[in-house]
Amino acid sequence: MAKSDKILTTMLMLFGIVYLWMTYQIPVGSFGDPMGPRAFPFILGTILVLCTLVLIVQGYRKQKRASDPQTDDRAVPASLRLIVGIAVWSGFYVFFFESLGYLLATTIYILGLTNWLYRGHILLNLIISVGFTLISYVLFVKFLGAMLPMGVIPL
Amino acid sequence: MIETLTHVINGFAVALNPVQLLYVFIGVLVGTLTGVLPGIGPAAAIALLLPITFNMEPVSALIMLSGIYYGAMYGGSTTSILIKTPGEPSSVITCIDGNMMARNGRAGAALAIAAIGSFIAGTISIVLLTAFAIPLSNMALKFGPAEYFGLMLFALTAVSALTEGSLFKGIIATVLGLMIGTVGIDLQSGSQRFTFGTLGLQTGVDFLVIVVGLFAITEVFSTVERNSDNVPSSIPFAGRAWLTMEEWRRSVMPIFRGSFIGFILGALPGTGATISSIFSYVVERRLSKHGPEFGTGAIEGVAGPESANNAAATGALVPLLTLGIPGSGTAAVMLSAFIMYGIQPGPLLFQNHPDVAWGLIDSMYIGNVMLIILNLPLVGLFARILYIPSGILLPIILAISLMGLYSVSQSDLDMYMAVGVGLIGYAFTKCKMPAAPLILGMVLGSTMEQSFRQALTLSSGNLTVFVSSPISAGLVVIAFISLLAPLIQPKLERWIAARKQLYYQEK
Repeated sequence: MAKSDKILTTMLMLFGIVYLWMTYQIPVGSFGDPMGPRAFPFILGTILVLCTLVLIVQGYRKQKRASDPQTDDRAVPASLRLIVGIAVWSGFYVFFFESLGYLLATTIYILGLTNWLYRGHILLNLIISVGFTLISYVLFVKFLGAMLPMGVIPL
Repeated sequence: MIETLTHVINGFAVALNPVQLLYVFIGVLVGTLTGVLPGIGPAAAIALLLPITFNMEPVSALIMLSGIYYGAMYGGSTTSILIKTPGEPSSVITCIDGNMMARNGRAGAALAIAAIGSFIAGTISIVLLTAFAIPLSNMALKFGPAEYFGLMLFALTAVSALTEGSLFKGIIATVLGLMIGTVGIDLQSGSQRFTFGTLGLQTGVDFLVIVVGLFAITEVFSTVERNSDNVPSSIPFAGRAWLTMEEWRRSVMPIFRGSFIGFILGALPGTGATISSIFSYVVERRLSKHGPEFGTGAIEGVAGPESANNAAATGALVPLLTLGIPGSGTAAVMLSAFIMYGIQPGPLLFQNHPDVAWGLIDSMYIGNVMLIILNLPLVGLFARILYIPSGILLPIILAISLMGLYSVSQSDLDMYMAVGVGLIGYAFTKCKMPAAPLILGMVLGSTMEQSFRQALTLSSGNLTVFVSSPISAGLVVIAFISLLAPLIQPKLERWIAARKQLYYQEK
């Protein structure tokens, strides 16, 4: 079991334990069904912890048997930085979504992404950013009646 | 029977006039669109259009609204296949093999078989509706909370056992999904669970957040990683855009089976297209000679589930029309439409308003035909979306996903969560943790828990209620078998092989 597997499994087990702990914080009413709001989460948390335990044990057994060097296909791929970058950029998009308004925020968002992922086509990217934003705005707000923030652009 | 036939023919007289045909068309068009767009589901579309239908004839309105309902089943498969983003919970299963088929260059075939399967299943299920509406609703009454729990237990264990990766990872994914389902105010006791005091989580985590995060955004991240290693800039679309004889041959039986499975499961109130697609996938995988191919692009894994979910949409009308019980959220909105027009669905519907009931049913035949005419030529068009360089497609997918979320819930918390879930989902794919069981667990979670608690309340805490009736006992047993099978099967096979060897050696 490669290292990232182990990390994830351990984190999941910790999550299960935290979940179980939080289950006991759930306020219990005094009437009604014999199970109460804690029962199901308790069962779920227990299953999660047990299964992650099994996986960890399985992982150790496989390691002992195979004893080959951990396949390290996860040597922090350069794309990881790009992925985290995209996530952070998306976070900014959400942050400014309401203040800048849909039109402006989305245009900037797409412009940024396309220039990252599709370099060297600045004009095309600009057209797409603006075009997509406008078309989707018309479609969603005018036709489907959705509510999107106006923000900075007065219309 | 003759009487029914008379009604059917009269129904066509109602359904075939130009105005009604127009409404069918609008309905299925809107339905397909809402199925394709993540965010607006058929329930939302129906609810949005309800006020407009106020001034229409009841029959016309109902025809249009039900067109939306099953039209959405067609649309949902498109995005599942092309960009691995289910437009509907019922399309989650299609993501598994459908997207793999697209990766193998068979996107056209996948889209085509989804459309064709949906059409055949839709037609078959409408025939079944015509013939069996009433006996089926009698059977549905036999399903109590214990039986429902058994059904969901089976569905979830089957999915955990059958998806790629280890059994335990599948279970973990399902359990995580169920856990997400427990967030929010518990309906049976009023307690708040896992809400951290925020308003946004009181109604639980929106299904859409998980779909968008775990499928669309994660898929974007995965594609970015794939592209940075080598540089194919669009998903390959090699091969013919149509089905080969071989693919068609393999799909025929799954489509038929899917129709029946979907119709019966759809007729049970509370279960619908999602469970039907799961069951169909499970059944097809067990029955197919190409079992090991499932997960890498087996066409049966698209044909069966897509047929099942369309049949289920029709099946869901059975309890609505015959008992007045909506079988799903969307059906509930339809129910309110009925009531708005002063028509009470239920046992007397067919007697008091035969023209409405049969006009509606007959319009569905027509709607199905329209859908296949609309969708098949568009297959080529949709598949061309894959030609767009991913550097442009991916940002658009991200933008649509995020703004779609906002347009539904006006919550930036949801948007943040989706991005977060996207990152977690990416980590999951690196560790081969399957996503489908997670989302299915989330969808079925609250119903499953409610059935669990209702059953125990009815039996005053006695656990044997789950094996007390033949239906529920059977389901629980099958659930355990499907869970243990992946563990026992290899050992059993080795044991048998070892005995055989011994036997031959002795000779």
